[in-house]
Amino acid sequence: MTDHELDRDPVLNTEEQQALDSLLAEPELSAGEWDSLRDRIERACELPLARRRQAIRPRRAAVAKWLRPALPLAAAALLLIVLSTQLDLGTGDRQPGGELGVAERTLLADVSDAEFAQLVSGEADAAALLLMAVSEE
Amino acid sequence: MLELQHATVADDSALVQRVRRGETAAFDTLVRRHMKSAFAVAYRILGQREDAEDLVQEAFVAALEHLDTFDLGREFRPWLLRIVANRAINARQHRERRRTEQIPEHAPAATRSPAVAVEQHELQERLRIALDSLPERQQTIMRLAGYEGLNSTDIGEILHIPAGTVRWELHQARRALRAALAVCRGREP
Repeated sequence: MTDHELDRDPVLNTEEQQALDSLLAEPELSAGEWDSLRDRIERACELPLARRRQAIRPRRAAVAKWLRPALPLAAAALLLIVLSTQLDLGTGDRQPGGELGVAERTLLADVSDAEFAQLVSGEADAAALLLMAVSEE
Repeated sequence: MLELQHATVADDSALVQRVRRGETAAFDTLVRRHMKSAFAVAYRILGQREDAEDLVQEAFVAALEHLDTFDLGREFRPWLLRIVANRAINARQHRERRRTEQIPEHAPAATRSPAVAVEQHELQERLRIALDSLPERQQTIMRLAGYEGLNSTDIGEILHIPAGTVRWELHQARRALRAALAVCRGREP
């Protein structure tokens, strides 16, 4: 049976067919109402569209993915470099003619055991140390 | 006509490819092009404007989420309308299960005389009852067949059945409606 044959199928009379068409027909929407519906649809689809845009940037996303855990590692490495540089400054001047570090100067200085204890404890001030040196002499 | 159809298919496929990359302008074109058909299908199945509008919105979101499963060699419109129809049928079944009262949106037209309007309204009410008593598939086909933009092939694609089955079901549905109306007339004084 073709569409054409069915169109001629006189099962419903004209009045009934009109009533049926009227019953089922969708309402006429104004241009503004269509725009409003389109806006609704597009607002609802903003997020899925954004997800799609995000998904097509695999290189940037991959970089970001690796960069995130790499940042603390990089910070730790930088800290290590800075620390080792400082240690080099403190201990690396052992070559002849080089300037000694503070700790080494303290150890090599001609001080008594009491002065040394004061110096190491950090409690001594300059006046106390001077008094101690004068009394020993 | 056939060339125009092929052009539309190719055009829609190109738009779908762009939408897959998240292009808003391409999506807007697809919405503008197919929103009215989607609304018509939703409304014809649901019979309520607000429900139909909500459903069209949901169907576009669902279509966007499943766009990667769309076969670019096929027509976009039947694919979209299938999503709309499936959701609308489910919504109608859910609504019927809840047995909520449906408010008829088709009030008698003000231009007709009161007697004619009442008669027309009664006929519509009888038709509505007769339509609701049809098997689910016949009912859906009957509702969609009245829409100008859809022929039996389109309806077949939307409902995933052969076009010949659509024509046969439509014929059976019309006969059943006619019989139901005759019974109603027979009961009238």
